[in-house]
Amino acid sequence: MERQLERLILLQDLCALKRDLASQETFEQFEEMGFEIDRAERIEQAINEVVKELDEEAYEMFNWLAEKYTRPIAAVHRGVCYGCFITLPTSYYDRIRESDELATCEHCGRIIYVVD
Amino acid sequence: MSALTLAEFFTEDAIKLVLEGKSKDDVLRELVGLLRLDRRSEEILYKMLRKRENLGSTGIGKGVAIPHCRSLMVNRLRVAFGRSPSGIEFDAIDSKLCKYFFLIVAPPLEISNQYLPVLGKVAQLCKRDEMVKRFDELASAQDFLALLQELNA
Repeated sequence: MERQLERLILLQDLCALKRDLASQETFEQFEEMGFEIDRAERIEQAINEVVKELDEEAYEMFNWLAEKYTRPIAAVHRGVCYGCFITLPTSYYDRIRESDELATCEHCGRIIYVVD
Repeated sequence: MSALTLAEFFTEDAIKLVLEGKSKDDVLRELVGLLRLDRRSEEILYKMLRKRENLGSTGIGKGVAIPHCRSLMVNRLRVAFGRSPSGIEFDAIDSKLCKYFFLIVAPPLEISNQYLPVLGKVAQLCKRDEMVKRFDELASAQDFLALLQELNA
């Protein structure tokens, strides 16, 4: 898998965590379960560290998609984009499976990560 | 809507009663390994779990840790259980070694919305006074599954 894609996936997952913790209700649920989240500011540091390792173009693409979608990156399972649930054209799917470049879904525009 | 039970999420191959790891990082990797993902997905998931631990240890006391996160690397809720006979330094809130580990990973978007309820059920289960003894007595993965069934957790 292309390194930029790995970092983008980590960035998306970190942003999801940040959103979870930003919700007072969710935060309190975690505390009730017994988790002490006493260093929440580190999530911003973690995000910044990942951003520093991203190409500007990849980061801009991610940010632009993040304005449209909560999940700018979607997994592709058996040729189906799990962002919009549209089946990718076979020829395109075959091409991106072999490629190391960032690929996007032709229907929803999300960055896609081929799982199988 | 039927109430969820923990037993429906665990499978034998995601239960390991003798974890080999000797450090927090080793145990996290070993638990991720129980999910049988491809190598690159494992690496990304491990990094995400590590980031989560940096915000505050998931060691909730009484020897229990529940490392958890959301990640694109899974397309449904995935869980695993591991036991470390010697215990691991996990920066737990009671400063004690952790011996019992529940790994819980969910996709970023979950229509079934099971992540927090499952986390909550595991945390609740582990707070019961008798659970440490019950976890210690487990002799097989089947015992663990039977325990969950028995408790109807």
